[in-house]
Amino acid sequence: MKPVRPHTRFRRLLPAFGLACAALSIPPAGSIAHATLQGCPDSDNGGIGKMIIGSLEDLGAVSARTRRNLLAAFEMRFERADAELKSVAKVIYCPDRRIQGAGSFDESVISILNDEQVLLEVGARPDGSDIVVAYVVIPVRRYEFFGPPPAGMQGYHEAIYEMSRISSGLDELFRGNAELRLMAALALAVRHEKIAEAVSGDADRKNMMLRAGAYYCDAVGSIESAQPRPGLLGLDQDEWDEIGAYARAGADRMVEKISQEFGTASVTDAIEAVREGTAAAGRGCGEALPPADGG
Amino acid sequence: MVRRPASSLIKTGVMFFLGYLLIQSVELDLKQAQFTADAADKLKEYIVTLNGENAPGGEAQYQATALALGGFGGVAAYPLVETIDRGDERRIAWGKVGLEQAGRIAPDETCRVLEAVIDDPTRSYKWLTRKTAVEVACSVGCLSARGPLGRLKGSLDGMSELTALQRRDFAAVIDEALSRLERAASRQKGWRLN
Repeated sequence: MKPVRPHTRFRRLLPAFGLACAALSIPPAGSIAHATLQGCPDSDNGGIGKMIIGSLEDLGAVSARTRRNLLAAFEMRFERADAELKSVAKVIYCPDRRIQGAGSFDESVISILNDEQVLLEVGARPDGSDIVVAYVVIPVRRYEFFGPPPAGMQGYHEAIYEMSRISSGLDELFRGNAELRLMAALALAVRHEKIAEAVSGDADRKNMMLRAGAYYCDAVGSIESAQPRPGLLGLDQDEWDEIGAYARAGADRMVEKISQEFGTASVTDAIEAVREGTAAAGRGCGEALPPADGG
Repeated sequence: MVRRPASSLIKTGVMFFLGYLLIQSVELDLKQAQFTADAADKLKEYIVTLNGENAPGGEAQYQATALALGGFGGVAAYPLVETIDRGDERRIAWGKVGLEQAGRIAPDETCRVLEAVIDDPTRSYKWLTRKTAVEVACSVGCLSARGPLGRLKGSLDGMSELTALQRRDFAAVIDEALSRLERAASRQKGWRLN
């Protein structure tokens, strides 16, 4: 009989051990067809996206009551932005999810989050006497920063707020939610633009392009109110400039595409519809949009 | 003085030599068994760490654990696939790192596992797991995965759980893998001709 070589025996035994270990240690997945999100309750929205708010528990310097207030205000404003944009995105609060800087949103993680239809992730951390709120615009980071070709906008942006503002007024902290709305609009714009490229039917494609144009315009309209504040608060000036240019270029690009493929009158109609009429007033994009008669 | 015949000395020598070989063989077996048990313990420890919460070293420790697990080669491939299939986005990314490591150490065995996941005849895996397997097969250079990749590409339209954008992005990943593997295959062919 041919002797069994030690390493062969080792190799024969290990798979059984490995599989047994795997079976014992990995929690059962059940019947869900999508991946879970770290620190989040399981959520399959079945729509166009998820917006994730990470844990705010790291803000240990503030009282528990203030922290609760902050979270409530944040969620309320987030949902308001979501409702105004008339998206079908779902806001998910993830109590065990902590944001750890741009480095932790590498290509693999971003690709999975994008596949899981996450639009935007928001997280906050204390930084001395300030609070840093990080916004990860998933579609921008997936399609622009990681390409191809890899370049362009980072899709990871931090805004600085004074810690004292938490106590002095929550409305003041997020200043009418300008950054949040800007980032949400950008995320929705890029996601809709990419969907428009992927769908095959003309009607679906037109609908997605119109919505993408509307969201880019909404981002353009939110730029001014998200302008960096004195004392280096808010967004970084260079990033703000870059985001503004990106949103305007996106709006121009969509308007041009829509005009070429479907005519101009429908562009303004759709944007009015998405903004629910009143929101359109003074929201910019006027210079980028062709007039309703197409002239 | 009695003189032993030479044959008796030879017999004694042979007996000593055989005894020595026997002892060595038993020792080797014992050491091997110990090594197997230690390795299995390590394997189990790594899998538990990778799938557990709050590792003291944080993200770096998870990365290191995935790499160490991948160091077991093909043996680690299925546990890593299970981690990817059941994990959140971070575990999927770490599992991918581990699978790539396993593929570098034991390409044949790992590629066989990846091909099985890509083909997935029993529809046991999530589509994200299959997509990850495609990416790893590409980065590891599994030339034999070209067949399964072609079949997967052909079946994308029938995967009703995918949105249009997910389908397009998935198709792009498959195309990229096929193109890179074809290039690798043609380079290999060129070297053989030379």
